[in-house]
Amino acid sequence: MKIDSQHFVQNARIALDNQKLQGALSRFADAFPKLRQQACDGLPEFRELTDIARDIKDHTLENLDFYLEMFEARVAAAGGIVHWARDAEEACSIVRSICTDQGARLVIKSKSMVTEEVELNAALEEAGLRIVETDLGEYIIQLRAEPPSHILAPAIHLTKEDVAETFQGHHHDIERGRGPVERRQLVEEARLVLRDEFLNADVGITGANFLVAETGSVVLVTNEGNADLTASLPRTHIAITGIEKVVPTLENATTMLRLLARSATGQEFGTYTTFFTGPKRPEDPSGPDNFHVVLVDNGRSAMLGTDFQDMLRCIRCSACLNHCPVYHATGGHAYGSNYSGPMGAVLTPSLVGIEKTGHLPNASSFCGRCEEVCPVQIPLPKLMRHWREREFERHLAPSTMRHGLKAWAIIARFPRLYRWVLQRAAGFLRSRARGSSEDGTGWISRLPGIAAGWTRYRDMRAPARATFQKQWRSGRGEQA
Amino acid sequence: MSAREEILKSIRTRLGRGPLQSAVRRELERSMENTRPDLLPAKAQEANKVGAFVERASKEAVTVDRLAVLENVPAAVFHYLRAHGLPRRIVSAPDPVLEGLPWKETEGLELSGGPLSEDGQAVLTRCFAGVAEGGVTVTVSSQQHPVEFNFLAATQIVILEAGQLLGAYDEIWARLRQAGTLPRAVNMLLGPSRSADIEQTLELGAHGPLRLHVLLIGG
Repeated sequence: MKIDSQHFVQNARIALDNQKLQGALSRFADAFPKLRQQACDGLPEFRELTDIARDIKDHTLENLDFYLEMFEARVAAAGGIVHWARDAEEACSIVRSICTDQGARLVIKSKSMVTEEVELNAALEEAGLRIVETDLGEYIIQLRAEPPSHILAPAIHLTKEDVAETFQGHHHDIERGRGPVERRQLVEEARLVLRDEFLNADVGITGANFLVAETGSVVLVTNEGNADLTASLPRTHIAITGIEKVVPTLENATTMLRLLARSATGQEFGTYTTFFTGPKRPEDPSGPDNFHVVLVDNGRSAMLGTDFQDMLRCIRCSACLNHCPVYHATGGHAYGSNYSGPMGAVLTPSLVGIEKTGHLPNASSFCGRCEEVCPVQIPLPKLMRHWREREFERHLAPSTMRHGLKAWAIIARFPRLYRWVLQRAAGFLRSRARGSSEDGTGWISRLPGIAAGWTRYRDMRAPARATFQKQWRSGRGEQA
Repeated sequence: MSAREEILKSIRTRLGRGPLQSAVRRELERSMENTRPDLLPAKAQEANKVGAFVERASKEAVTVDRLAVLENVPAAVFHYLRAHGLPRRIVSAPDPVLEGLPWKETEGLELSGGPLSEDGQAVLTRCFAGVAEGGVTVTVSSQQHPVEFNFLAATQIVILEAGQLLGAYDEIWARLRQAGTLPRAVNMLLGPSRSADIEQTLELGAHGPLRLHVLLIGG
């Protein structure tokens, strides 16, 4: 996985100064949480379903070997083949072999974060194959040679003018009228161009939203229908996904589906939800002759039995990104990983190590919204805190933070010294306050040194006149 | 050691155990033999399935036309195509039930059996079930229902009989298990194809149908 997370701080600053990106993000930050809330309100059992979903995933993970072996046996019984990949390289080599054995030239893909993780496209292109992404957002960023900026809506950072410019640069045979850019026309243009690719492709590669052990089925959810075309038209269908995606039964998968679309986009259900089992049957007039599933470990099994096992419950709905104030401010590219937002801040260090990714678990205000909206109840702030602790233990944290924390730890051991320092600091802050807030202490709009990082983007409230302890001693605490 | 063995070993080592004992495996297998829904929401158990289906499907840009009997389908298809200014041509799935409908009685409507390669066509299929819980139409791939009929046309017309309406999604599985192995594709359709990938604004007809029209028979 390509990682640029070590430059999160610089990349975040660039993102904050990018007006176009900020416009796109603010539209997104308003819309998604509202839609999700409406969808959850429409299902009174939502909370109870998240308990069940959490338990299904926990049970499956505790018996993961059993359910993966069952899945493999059922895929084989339906006429398909399961492959196991220890790491990214092995995953790419398996897919490459299937494609070359088929004499394939054109490969179409529907959106899959695992293929981004293992950098499958580059590996296949090296082997001389032409790869076409078919999810509209993914197709746009493929033409632009950019990574996705959101796990669900990969082109969320772009405007329709950006898309029009990209299409003009690549679709030379299309005649366009003059006048303002219409989204409708862009969607039609992509439909026209991609239809030929769908009809001529030799291999279709999809991810999987869920795997069903009971039947050996691969479950795919899209709104465009592109995954269905990808899985149905070429003569070979390869589904590539992480080992943690398996659930025991069709009913368990159904519980997950009741949560997925509501959490992801605020829809009741995806427009197209398909359970694929094996290749086409002898009597089927259409469908692929070959069906392969590639199960990718790539660091996942090593998360079992650790503090990070809960992260393997993730169903990639993106609710945590959609509700994260840090993601809303920086967008996805700043994270320097395909997995961004709170889920990425936990998963990326788990997959590639904390050495290059230490900024990610620190890029959180710990407001807790991510955990609140997670449909499988992953304690994301706690897991980010675990990564912060590991980073600190391994002396990877920046020296200002290490020294600051050490100084605080020394002072905190001497209560009188602690109070004295606190009063001096509070006095200094009050002296810089302007205007008046409700309790008469005012707001601070500029601070020196490292504190400038706070006041550059927002005002800071001045401390109260008396400390909490002082107020408590004078008896006011009881009224508060 | 093969990749398979190594991954399974890594899983077991991390979970602090060896392979599951046969008694435990049997217990897990047994629990899967009597599968039940995890939790059925109240909206999956409403008495008025027809009303619930129509309301929920309509919310997702599905249009529903109520017909008394199957024989009314050709006329309903003709009226739908005319009302939307579409060519009066319909591509029917290779389904004997559809072929047996009184097409000749509807003048001006051209019936064909495909192929489906060019864009802009209208197709007609039957379905496996409708689910009241979400307004979802369910089709399964078969000799009578090639899977691309759900995705390659611009207009998709589906016949759903009121007796095929189920309350919850889970009931699909109970029915399919009775029939044996799952078909290659079980498709759950909720509206025409759409994308909000450009500026988070919904546009219909991303790759698949621009219109999904359900002809609901009886009820």
